[in-house]
Amino acid sequence: MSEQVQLDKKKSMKEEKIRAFMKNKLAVAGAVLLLTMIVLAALSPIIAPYGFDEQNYEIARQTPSLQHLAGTDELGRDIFSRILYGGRVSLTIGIISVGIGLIFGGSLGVIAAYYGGVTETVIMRVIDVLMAIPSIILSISICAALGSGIVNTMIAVGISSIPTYARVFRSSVISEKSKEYIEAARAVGAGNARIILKHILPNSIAPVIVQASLGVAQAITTAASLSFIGLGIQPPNPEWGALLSSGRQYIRDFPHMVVYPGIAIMLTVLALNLIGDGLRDALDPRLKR
Amino acid sequence: MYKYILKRLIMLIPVLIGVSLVVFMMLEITPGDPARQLAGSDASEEAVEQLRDELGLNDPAATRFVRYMWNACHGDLGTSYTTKSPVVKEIINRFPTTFTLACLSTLIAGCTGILLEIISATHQYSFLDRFATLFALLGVSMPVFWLGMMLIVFFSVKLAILPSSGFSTPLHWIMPAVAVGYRAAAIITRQTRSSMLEVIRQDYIRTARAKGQSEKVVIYKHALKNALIPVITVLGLQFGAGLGGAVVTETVFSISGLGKLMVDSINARNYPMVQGGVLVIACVFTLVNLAVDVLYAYLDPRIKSQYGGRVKAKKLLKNKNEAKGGGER
Amino acid sequence: MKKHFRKLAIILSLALSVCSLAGCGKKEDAQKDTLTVAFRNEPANMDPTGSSSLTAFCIQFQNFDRLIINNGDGTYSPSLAKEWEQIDPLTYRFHLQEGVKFHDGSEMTADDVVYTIARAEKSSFSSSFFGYFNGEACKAVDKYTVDISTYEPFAPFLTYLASSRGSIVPKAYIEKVGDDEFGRNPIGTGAFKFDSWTSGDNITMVKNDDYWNKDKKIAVNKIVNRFITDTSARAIEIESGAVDISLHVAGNDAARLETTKGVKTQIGPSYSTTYLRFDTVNNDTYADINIRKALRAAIDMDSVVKTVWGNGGETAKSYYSPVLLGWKDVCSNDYDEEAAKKYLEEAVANGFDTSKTYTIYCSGDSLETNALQAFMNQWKNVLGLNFEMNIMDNATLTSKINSGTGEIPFFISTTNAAAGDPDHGLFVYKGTACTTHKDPALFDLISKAAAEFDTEKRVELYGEIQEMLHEGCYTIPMVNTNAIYGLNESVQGLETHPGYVPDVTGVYFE
Repeated sequence: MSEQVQLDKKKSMKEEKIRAFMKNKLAVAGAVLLLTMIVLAALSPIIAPYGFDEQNYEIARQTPSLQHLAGTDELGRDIFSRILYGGRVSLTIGIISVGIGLIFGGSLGVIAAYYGGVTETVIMRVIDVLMAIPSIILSISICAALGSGIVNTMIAVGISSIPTYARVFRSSVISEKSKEYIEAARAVGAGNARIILKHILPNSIAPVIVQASLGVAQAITTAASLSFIGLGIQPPNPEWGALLSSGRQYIRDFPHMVVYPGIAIMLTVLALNLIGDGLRDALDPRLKR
Repeated sequence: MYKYILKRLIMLIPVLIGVSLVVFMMLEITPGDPARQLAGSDASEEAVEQLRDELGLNDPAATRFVRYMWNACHGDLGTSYTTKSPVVKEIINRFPTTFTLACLSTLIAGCTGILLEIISATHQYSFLDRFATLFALLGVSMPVFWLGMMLIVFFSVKLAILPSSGFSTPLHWIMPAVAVGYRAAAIITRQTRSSMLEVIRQDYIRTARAKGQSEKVVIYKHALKNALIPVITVLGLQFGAGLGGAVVTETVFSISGLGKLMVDSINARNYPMVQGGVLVIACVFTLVNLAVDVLYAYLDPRIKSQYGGRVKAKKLLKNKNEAKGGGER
Repeated sequence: MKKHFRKLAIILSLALSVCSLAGCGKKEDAQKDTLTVAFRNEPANMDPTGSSSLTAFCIQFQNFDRLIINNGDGTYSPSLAKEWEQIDPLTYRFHLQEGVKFHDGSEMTADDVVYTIARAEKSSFSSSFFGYFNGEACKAVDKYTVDISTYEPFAPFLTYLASSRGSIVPKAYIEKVGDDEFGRNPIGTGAFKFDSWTSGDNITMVKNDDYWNKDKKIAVNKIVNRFITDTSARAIEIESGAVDISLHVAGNDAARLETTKGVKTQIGPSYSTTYLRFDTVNNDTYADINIRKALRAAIDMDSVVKTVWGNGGETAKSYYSPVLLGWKDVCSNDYDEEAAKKYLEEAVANGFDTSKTYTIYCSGDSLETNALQAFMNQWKNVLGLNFEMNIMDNATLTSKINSGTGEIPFFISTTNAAAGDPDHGLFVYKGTACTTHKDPALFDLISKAAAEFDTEKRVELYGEIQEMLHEGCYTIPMVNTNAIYGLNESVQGLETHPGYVPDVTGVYFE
């Protein structure tokens, strides 16, 4: 086939996939929801009615009202504003942790799959060891070792997601590796790096994208869990899990302090899940397990 | 088949050694001195040093690790720094609690998940089906600890009919099990809904219908059995994960189980407890995975009949594993 | 499918009804002769000198006796010692009760007392108390008479002996089974015998029918000491009736418990003080007294304490708890924003950098972190200084503070003068290897006050000490947390102990 025809075929395949995604109403709804949350988070300094650390002891622990849409917390800060600012922290952590997992886990998976043999065995055994430890416990240990803070939390969550991405990349690469066009490329004399980067990776990307979008959701939840236990994010940073943790002792008398941050987490994770599902359905029907 | 099981069991050993090594290394870089922690802030420096010697903390790392592994092979996982009782004993004390929670939540998840799956498959696109989808979506989107807190607010605070902490009576079991089980049910529903749909589209279902079988027989006798196989896989995984420590759930409900023990031990720098605990959890986790794989191989007639052709069976299992790898825990 | 659904529904409802019956049943018989107490953590062991856990001390009060009882007002009542006198500045002679049996049947004699003191002196957990006692010089004069000596004249002598770390332990038993086993299966002379220890859940004690003190009325047959780490869970268990006494109830829970039927609260001052502390020995950042005074003056401590602690605590006006001997209000007038700004100017003139972001460390207690957030806010608004919080777990924080590297120049700390003596409350200021400030005059004065037996003179000395501490500004006192107990309405006879080591053996139901 001539190169032009090949390019056209690729382009129309992409368009087809995008169209398939758009047809899925739920997926589009998810995308819109996520976009809304991202915009709200990004614009939080402008839209938030109060600062995230604006304390006012007189109005502490008030239930939702017109001035304070989600009520106030134990130091009199507006919870709605804190949720908006918290979105930035949570979304950043979600995305960067997944990035870390993708880059490191992905490299490991690709190298293992492509080179095979002893390299593969060694890498996959290490991955097995990491997978044998429940990921929450792994991230707790890493957090305890590194200390708290946003960066350390991202590293901890990122590292605990490495095994997942390693596996996904590996299986993708393995199925691509045996295809004819790779053999052809090698016959023509293309070097390993070029083959990996230019041929294998772009074609393996479909399951990875799906996993990544679900992964961001998982990362946000894990980070929230870490903050909830007391590791993770330092106050006064309004990360959603930290909001839940500090509101927990008032759960009997002032449940509003835990209801709203939880809803924020739920909506974001829901949006990401909808997008992930839509991507999965659109990109490769075979993946519908 | 038995050779396969045996091989996997033997592989367990290097994995466990690897886990120990990872945990050990992490504890090494974790700051904080257990001797100082135990002695209290008003103890003298000499007293702390003495304690450090007693606990064997001054020996080089390699020595300590080897000593630990040697003891572990003999069933001695060390002594907890804080309670001075054997780690094994502490773990055995907490294990039934977490085990019960894992079993209950898996039971809830299984029943709910399968029920919803049947609904979706038979009443596709109906109101029930949509409800099931929404139910499942919410389930994976809600953080488990938040669901736990909402349950407490509703049932303990507002209605005052369920206790909000502890695990002593069956009444105490309901909320934690539901909190963990709901998420697991949602995961199962989502991951098997498509498998059920796929199965229904298969030729042999069409044949069965063409043969004149009643819809009920078609669903139960043919479709369900085949669609159930992935469900079992996921159920097993969720059980393993639940065992591994529904850490956060145990924190929310003040349940003294393995997960909470782990978190408390990490914070207290109770090294032997952390090492022993993670080792045991990893061991159980791996065993559960093995059981699930074996069960899967046993149930899936494609694999079962292929056991002569090991290559194909391994490939099918590997594909299943890759799918599993992307799953949620 | 409908058939299955119905079956499922029937099974589920049956299961639920069984569960609720089981749940109901458990509650009824819990109250009559069993006392259930909820603590906030699990002790490491039950050895009186084997830990510094308040929970352990409280349970040890059930299992062991001490030579004397501290009445809380400066007087002491006899317990295992029926009489005592001071025979020289360093020594007291105690005359013991006769015929007191340990739980294993052996008799308590002066040898056990000597053994107890010597052991307490050497243990790392009680060395802050018993380091002053000269274990070697203690001797058994005869079977029921014992001399106890200290290295130097020591005024808190009797107070320390009356604390749970002074519990008399059986020499023969410990020598036979060893410290660790003793810590898991303790034997004492107390009103209750050790029955069982379910790790992670509770320690159960049963009534000692051979208790030597026939005058003491013991109303219950069993005490179940439960460990519930979650603060709100402890309050909830009281409300549901599952627990009779709950220690360490949070301030906001207390307000609610007061209005709940069937439940009451007892609130009293405690020995504990929470404060901000500077390390000026190992680190230069806050060496200039002006910056410390600026930080102190910028905080409206009253409103922060009220918001964060509610009725869980009172603003600290001095360096130890107001219920201790010699307390004097020295901090009332510290809040002064204008003065704060002036002090800051001085500090800047001496080279303090206001553009940096400074770190303050704490161990993650939620009320403390809330207070810190309030402080950081006020420092920003009044002084324009930027602070950030660094939460470390307790283990790491304590090691780093005591390591002498100066990594932690500014942090939150709490002292609990569990012994009930101001000397214990001033432990942090004393001049040990871990002290974070240099002030030889202060150290001398504290030692002098500890050796002064005359109460009036002692009060004067402590007054001077508190003034000195205020001048030196080594710490900024925050709050004296209250001891809040949640009780079932029917519980009587519990005295609120400021050190959170109440004696529950005298509790009865009504």
